[in-house]
Amino acid sequence: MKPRWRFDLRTRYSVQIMLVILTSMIGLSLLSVWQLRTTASQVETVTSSALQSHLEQQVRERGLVMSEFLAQNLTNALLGLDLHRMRDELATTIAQRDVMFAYLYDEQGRIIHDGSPAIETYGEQLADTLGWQVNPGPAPQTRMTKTALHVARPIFVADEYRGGVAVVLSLEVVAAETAGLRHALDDLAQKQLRKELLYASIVMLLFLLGGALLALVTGRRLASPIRDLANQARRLGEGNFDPVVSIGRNDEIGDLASAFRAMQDNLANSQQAIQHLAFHDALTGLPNRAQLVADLENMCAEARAGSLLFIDLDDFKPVNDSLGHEAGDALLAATAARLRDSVKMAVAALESEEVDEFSVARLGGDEFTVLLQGTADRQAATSVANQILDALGQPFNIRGHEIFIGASIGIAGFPDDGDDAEALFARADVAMYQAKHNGKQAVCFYQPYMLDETRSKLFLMNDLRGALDRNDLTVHYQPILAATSGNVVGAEALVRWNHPQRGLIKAAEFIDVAEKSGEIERLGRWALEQVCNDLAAWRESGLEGLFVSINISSRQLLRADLPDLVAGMLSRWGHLPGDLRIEASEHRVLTQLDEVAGVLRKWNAAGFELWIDHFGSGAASFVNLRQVPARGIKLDPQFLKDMSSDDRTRKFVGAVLDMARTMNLEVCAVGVSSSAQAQWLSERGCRYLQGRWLGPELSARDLLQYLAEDMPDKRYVQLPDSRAI
Amino acid sequence: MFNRLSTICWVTLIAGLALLTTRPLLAAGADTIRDTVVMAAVGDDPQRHLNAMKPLAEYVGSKLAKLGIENVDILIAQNRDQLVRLLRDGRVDWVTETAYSAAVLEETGAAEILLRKWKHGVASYHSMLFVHRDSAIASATGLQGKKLAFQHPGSTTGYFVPRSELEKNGFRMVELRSVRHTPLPEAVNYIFSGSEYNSALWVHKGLVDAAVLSNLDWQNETLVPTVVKSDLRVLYTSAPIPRALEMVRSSLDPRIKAAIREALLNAAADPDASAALTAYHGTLKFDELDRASIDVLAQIRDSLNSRRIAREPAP
Repeated sequence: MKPRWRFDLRTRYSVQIMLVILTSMIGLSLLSVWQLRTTASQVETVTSSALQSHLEQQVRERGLVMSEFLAQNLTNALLGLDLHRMRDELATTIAQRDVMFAYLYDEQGRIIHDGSPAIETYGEQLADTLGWQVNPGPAPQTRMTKTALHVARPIFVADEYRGGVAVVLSLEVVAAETAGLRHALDDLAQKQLRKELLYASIVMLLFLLGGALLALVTGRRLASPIRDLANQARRLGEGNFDPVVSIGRNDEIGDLASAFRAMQDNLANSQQAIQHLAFHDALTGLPNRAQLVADLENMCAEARAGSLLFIDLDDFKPVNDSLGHEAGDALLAATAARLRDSVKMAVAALESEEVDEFSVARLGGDEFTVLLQGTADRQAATSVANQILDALGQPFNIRGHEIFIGASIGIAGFPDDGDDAEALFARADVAMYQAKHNGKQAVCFYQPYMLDETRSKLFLMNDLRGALDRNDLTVHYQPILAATSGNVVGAEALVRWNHPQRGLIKAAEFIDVAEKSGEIERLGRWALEQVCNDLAAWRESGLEGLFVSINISSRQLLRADLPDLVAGMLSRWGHLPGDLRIEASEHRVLTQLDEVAGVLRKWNAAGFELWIDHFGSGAASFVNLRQVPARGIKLDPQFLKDMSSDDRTRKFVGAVLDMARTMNLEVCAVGVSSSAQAQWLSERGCRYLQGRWLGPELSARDLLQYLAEDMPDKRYVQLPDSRAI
Repeated sequence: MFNRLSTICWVTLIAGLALLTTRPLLAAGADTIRDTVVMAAVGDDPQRHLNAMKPLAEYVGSKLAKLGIENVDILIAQNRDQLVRLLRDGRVDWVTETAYSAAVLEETGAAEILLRKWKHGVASYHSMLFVHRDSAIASATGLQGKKLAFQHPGSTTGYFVPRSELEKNGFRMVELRSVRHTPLPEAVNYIFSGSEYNSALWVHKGLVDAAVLSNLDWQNETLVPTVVKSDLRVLYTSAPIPRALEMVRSSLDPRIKAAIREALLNAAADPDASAALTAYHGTLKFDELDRASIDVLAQIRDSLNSRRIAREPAP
């Protein structure tokens, strides 16, 4: 949420400008007011003092004139003591506003008349301060006090001093006039000040308005492009890559806008790249899983018919392993190209034009998909799938190597096989596994049962965890007999799962699940522990010298640290490496020879005998076998099964035995089912025999029992020669 | 109009006063009825006199029309002697005067008293002789060798009447020219103060020993301030003297004399004359002389005669 109000750039700028103007104007106003006041005060002082001296001069002159006038008018009255005349003149004089006193006095300075009707001061001596003198000169005497002017003018008649007139003039008028002037000047100054302040205020107001306008305009010019940029950035942040609206500025803000535009372009490119990366596979450039899912969802949403081909390359891993990841990547890229081309050709070649859209995607690793939209017609899908198989069946030339791979393809159709993207995908995947299971280079359409199998595997996977916890697993042992003596010399450990609902489940059924779920490590450790325990138990029971064969799963075969771990565990139980024989399946060992050879040598080095299991079931060759530090091979049971009826198989087995002898490899025949077979194998140099007929799978305890019953010397059982082959 | 014409005429008269006094205005004899009556007074303020006399002149003039009098002109003489000459020449017919002047005019035979004038509403007044309250003078006899202030030589109550009284009582009267002069011990030394105020204040300030004022002036606060009056003591009061008198030329046509007399006697009762009387020195009415007034006037005439006889060089 945005705050309701904030100090944005424009406001801040405006306020600052206004403050500057306001401060300057107030300062100027104060200065001018101060100057005005000072000037007014000076003018007042100068003017009023000038006025005062002028007025005082006026009063003095007036006093002199007045006294002269009185003296002239009263000379006869003085001579004739005409009091009436004196009264008239003096009273008239005193009646004037500024005259405080007026006297006529005799030559002795005694008052003859003061202007009052009864002459109250008659005969009183005139004060010296009034300017009376005993023997005055003809000139009048004036004396200025703070409040009054005293004038005394003597009257001479025929050069004889006869008295005089004294006038006292008040200076109140002067003071009043001066005060009045001061007041007037003050008023004037006040008025001027008010006027000045008014002008200043008006000017200030105008400046403020102008300033505000200027600040607004400038602020807007400054802030609006920035605001535009901010809005652009906000939109950018929301993922809107619309082109930047041009700021049209040639200044720093213009530079900012350019930089911003460049950044936006870069961001848009990056975004595009990211978008592409997000929905495309970097290595092949094909759409990736996300894109496929999106396409599928889209298709399902639009309820268009379609087929999803799930393609998994066969035998891709060996290429990666043997030629390196770079070669693997090159192969994947080439595969992608061929896929694209072949699908295109196949779609083009379809008779019906129902496939209106197709896409090839890489899910990761060696998994690809082809989505055909428009029809779920199996014919069309099959035709495309076959085209793919053909294309991928051609050898690839990767860095000078001619490489053969193939592919397994599972197909699921929409909407018959699944009504949403997830289901469709999962079902095509299941179908692909089925194809692989069916023997590679195959195409398989989804069938509902496949999902059940897969589901049952999933249940197994879940159950397996609980089984290990609950100890539902047991180790059974199948006796291995020495062909020459017929004595039990060892046993193959076989893990069995006593499933609460399904009954006894063989290892082959859940080892794969264990490997996929990662439980194989735990399972392996548990089994080994069990074997060690059983060995110890047997030893305690006096059964010694019996070896136990254990199968190493494909995954565990890759663990280089396992030989030492196993050796350590054995030694903790007081067993020797010789007590254990390690069996690895021929397929695993010989197809991944480069990877496992080192590990095999470690097993050897740790003192373990290495046996190749299921020999002859795959593409094993003696050539490869030479490189394996194996002690021997275990013949696949299929040979013995076929041997009874097939002479060629018998000859082949004979040849294998010969060859093994030549290569100094011991042979253990598995699945021996008759005395004749045992005899034959024994004669042909087969060292060990194993089979249900010779000895069934038994628990450790049962095996002990079995051996005790069948071996009178408590150590070996006799070869059951009596039993007919 | 009559009034305006009359005014213009007498303004012309004033302007040509010198000429008027040197030749007869009319050649007609005393018994001839003219068409103009001339009213006169003595004074140095013609404007004041004119304002006072004009309304009454017009009023009386209107009453005289039946006698063929068309105008009553006004004439202000500079002094009594000039007035006497004008009367003798028949160029003035009607005069208003104080008792003393009236006596002087009557004595000349040129004019005769017609009626008493209640000037300022007063029928008569009298002289008062006073000293300072602290003065040792207890009676008029104490004035011997003292200084006495009179008002002025033309004053009836302020000079003539008291002097006559003093002379009648045998005092020798000597005039001092200045109040500052030393008095003669064997005489009553008199000085003309020139104003009622001077008389009162001189006594009050001890410049003279006594002074004389009319009772009207004595009561005037301006002339004798109360403060001053309280310090004064009245020594003597004269008999009542008519305040003012209306006179006519002795040789005036008796019909006109009678007509003027009748007009004046009736004026107080005539509302038309009210304003004219007020203007004419606040006159309340005109009446016949009573016995006392006749006696006083006779006494004044006697004094004038004895004074004329006694007029001899001052010592």
